[in-house]
Amino acid sequence: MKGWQSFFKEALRGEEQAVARILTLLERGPLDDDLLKKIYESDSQIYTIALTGSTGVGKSSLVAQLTDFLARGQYVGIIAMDPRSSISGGAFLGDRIRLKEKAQHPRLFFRSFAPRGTPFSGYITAKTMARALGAFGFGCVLIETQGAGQSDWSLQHLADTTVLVLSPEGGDEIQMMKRGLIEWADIFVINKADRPGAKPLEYALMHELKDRGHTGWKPPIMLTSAQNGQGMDELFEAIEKHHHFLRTHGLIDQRRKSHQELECLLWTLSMTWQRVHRKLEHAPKQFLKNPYEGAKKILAEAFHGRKKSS
Amino acid sequence: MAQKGLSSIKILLAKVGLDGHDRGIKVIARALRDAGMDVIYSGIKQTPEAIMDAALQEGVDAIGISILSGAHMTLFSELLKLRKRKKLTDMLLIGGGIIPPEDIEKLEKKGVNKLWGPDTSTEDIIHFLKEKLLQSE
Repeated sequence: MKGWQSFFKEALRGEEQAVARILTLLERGPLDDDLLKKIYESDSQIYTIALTGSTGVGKSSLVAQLTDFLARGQYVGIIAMDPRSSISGGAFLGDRIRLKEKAQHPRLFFRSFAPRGTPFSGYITAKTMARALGAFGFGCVLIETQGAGQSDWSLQHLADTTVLVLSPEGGDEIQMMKRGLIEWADIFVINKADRPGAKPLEYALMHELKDRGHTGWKPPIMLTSAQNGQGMDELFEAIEKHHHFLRTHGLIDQRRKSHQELECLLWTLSMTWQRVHRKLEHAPKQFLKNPYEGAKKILAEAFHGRKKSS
Repeated sequence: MAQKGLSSIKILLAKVGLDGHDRGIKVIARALRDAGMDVIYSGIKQTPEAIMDAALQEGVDAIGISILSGAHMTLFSELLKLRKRKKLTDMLLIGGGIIPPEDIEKLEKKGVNKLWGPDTSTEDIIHFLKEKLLQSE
């Protein structure tokens, strides 16, 4: 069995098989310190787009439609994240099914995965995969993920451009997302716009977004119908415009610095989770009677050994 | 204990050729997911080429094909050829459908890792994958 070093070299030469092997290591482990070092050292400037939204709004279909645009003259990676069942531990990864004949695009690399390990694994894994693809010469990565609304604080630091997808059926979503994604998504998409309810949703959204734009970027609302390709030119144009905006306003470096901060935080949380989880399993019962004090003791034990456990 | 190990199995399921009957494969997809596996379903009417490309990009441990059209000899031979050409021989190629026993024998001799006919229990498939894939860990 070859080590990752030879796969890395082959991947740099553009060998698809080797690219896949490296992504599998990042997805499923075991992680290798030197591999991660190599990925971060390559300091890829890959343009990253995140596309998010609730289940059933048509994210995968939009992604499939965007493939042709994004893969013009460059290699594009798509990383599709799906949830894992907490009961069986299994996952159904159905994003590829929407690709249909686009799956055969010669400049597309598509990987679906369900995060494993800790609650922090998903975004950091996706981001690290994106960086690896950047190192291997890809021009753009699109990360497709399920957005849960307010709690998705880390999503905003995942990509250069974040696209939030809504559908007319999910009109109430706006209520749920008021202080979450709505506050910072860069582009809004109302997909399935051929269905009733698209216009009222657009007005409601316009109302919510009226205060946005202090950075100089007024987030556009795009109406699309991924199924018949309607509005795709315009959506791609909006993405390009945002990319251009970030570059010409010196905002891209700022974003990338916050990406790095988030990556460091997610790795920290992920490592802490693993350590603390092990400790918690073996924690004495009295720790749990006062969970607040118990937490302090477990943290102390996890990081300083046994001496402070009195 | 074995169930725990299963969570590290990733499998691609697909329908090959001109065959749109996907009820069976969806039952299997659900059963494998519930057994803790990561299941990618790439849909109906896939060409052998598209299936092997997907398997490569997704980095799966096994490829499961459902075929009810009767074209299994041609299509599995094609899949075997592509698996070799794309250097994916470490991935299991398994399948099921309306395949006569003598054809199953021939195809398994040619290199298909396992084929099942009608009335196979999902448990058999799970057991097979478990045994084949968790052994080497």
